Amino acid sequence: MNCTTCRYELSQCLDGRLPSGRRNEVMNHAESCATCGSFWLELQAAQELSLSLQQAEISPNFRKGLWDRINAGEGTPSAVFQEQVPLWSKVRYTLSGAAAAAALLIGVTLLMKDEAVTPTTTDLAANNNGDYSNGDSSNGWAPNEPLTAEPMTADLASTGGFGSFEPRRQLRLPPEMEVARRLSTEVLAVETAHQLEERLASAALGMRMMNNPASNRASAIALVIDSAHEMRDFIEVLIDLRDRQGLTFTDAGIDADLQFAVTMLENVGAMEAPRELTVEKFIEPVLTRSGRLANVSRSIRTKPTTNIHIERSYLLRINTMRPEVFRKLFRVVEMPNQMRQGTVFLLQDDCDMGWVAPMSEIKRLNIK
Amino acid sequence: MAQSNNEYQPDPITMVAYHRALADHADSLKAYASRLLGDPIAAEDVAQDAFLALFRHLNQVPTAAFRPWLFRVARNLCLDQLRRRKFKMSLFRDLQKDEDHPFTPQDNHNSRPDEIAETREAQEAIENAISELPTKFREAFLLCEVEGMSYEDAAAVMGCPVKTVSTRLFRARQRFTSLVSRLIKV
Repeated sequence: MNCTTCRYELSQCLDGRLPSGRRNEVMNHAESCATCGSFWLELQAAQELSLSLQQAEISPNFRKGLWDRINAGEGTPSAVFQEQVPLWSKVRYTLSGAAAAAALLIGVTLLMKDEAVTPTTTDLAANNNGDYSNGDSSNGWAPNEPLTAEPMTADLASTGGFGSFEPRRQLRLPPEMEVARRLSTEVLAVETAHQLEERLASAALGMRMMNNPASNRASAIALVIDSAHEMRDFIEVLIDLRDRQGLTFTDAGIDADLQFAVTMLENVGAMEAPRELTVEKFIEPVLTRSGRLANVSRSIRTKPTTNIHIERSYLLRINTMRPEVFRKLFRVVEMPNQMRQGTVFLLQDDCDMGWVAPMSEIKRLNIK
Repeated sequence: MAQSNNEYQPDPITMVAYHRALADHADSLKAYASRLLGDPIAAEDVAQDAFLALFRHLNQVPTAAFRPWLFRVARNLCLDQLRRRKFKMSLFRDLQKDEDHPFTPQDNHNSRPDEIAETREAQEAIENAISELPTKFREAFLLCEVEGMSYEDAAAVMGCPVKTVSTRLFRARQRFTSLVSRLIKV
């Protein structure tokens, strides 16, 4: 046993987290190694110090103030569920959105010029959106009208092409329905892996931009660091799934790569180092070793669920505790009798195991 | 923007659990928020906001999850405040240190003045050491070491895997130990 491992495990010993066999090994090492032995004593002394801290007490008016607010019908502060998005990310998303809209506009213009256009799902969604305005004011669907959940593409052949397309009632479903699926551990794992792959690609692009003298270096560094933050979020979800829900990877090296990546990315933002140094020291090594992670979605295997309640409880827990990550993974789609469009998966809105549309699919189909 | 949920009326059993949570966790929630924010007055508001949010979502939160849920909400509120008032906070912190001594133990009138001063100095050194930890490490340290929360609950509060909590706690302890080394007599 080396000293680094021993010290890490001594910290766990302090909380009673090690099995007795392992604890004995660690203690034997600590007894035979002066440095680790001293570290163990210091840890215990430091814990005593932190436990000696005086507990803060709420003021006598705390309860009265709380009940006054409850009785006055005051709502939940929005910051309770929302994490602030950094300004640069907002700018980046806005620019990406504007660029995508411009590209779409150019594409549509070119397509309109061509008379022999083959209809695509995107075209269909555009027609479909137009149809929403004829029905219910909120989402184009009148609640009393019968609905079918047939895939939109099934109706595509009968429409006869873009120019002669006539909307049918079956098509008046939100476009997310096409890619919606019941939320499960597997769906969560696969989508998290897709998003991780996407962020790895963004970070790699940022690194290339950094090395290109013609690019804006500051923007490139910001792109790499933003991607790294999101990569860490997704990796943590995958590790959590692996730890609790029996997720496995067919490639044994992925476990180590994930652990390495999360250990390195933990330092991004935690250290007060210059951003460029952070990229070089903590993010670049992850990208250099990201060969397996770039295809992690293909290596995922989930064990069949034996207890649906445990799985639901776990998914609910992740959703309520990490709404910021869920927002990046899914959009909620409710099935026909309660359909609402574009609901975001947030604690205060939807908390059950509904149908979700993975963001990667939404992006692929260019659904707004 | 705030939302309200006036229609929901909690059942008596849930209300008992809520009152229990209020009695059990209000102080520690305030302490946690105070050490994250460095501002005991704002911390009390955060604790109250968290309990208000819990009341509004009683139908969605299992009673067994009250504690991590409250801490998670308090964490979000604190991080929001820190982001909004990053500069302002640093100005206030020094004033509070001089005037409020929020976490120094109540002076024991039977102790000698020099003992009281020594204890107060030690408490301040510990508080300073905690406040010098990077936010992520500080969170793990406050939840696990000071509040005695399990790694699993701390992971739920911090929104990260259990393993990450363990790693952050280890690093936090390493730094804390070196920061308070002069107080440690081994």
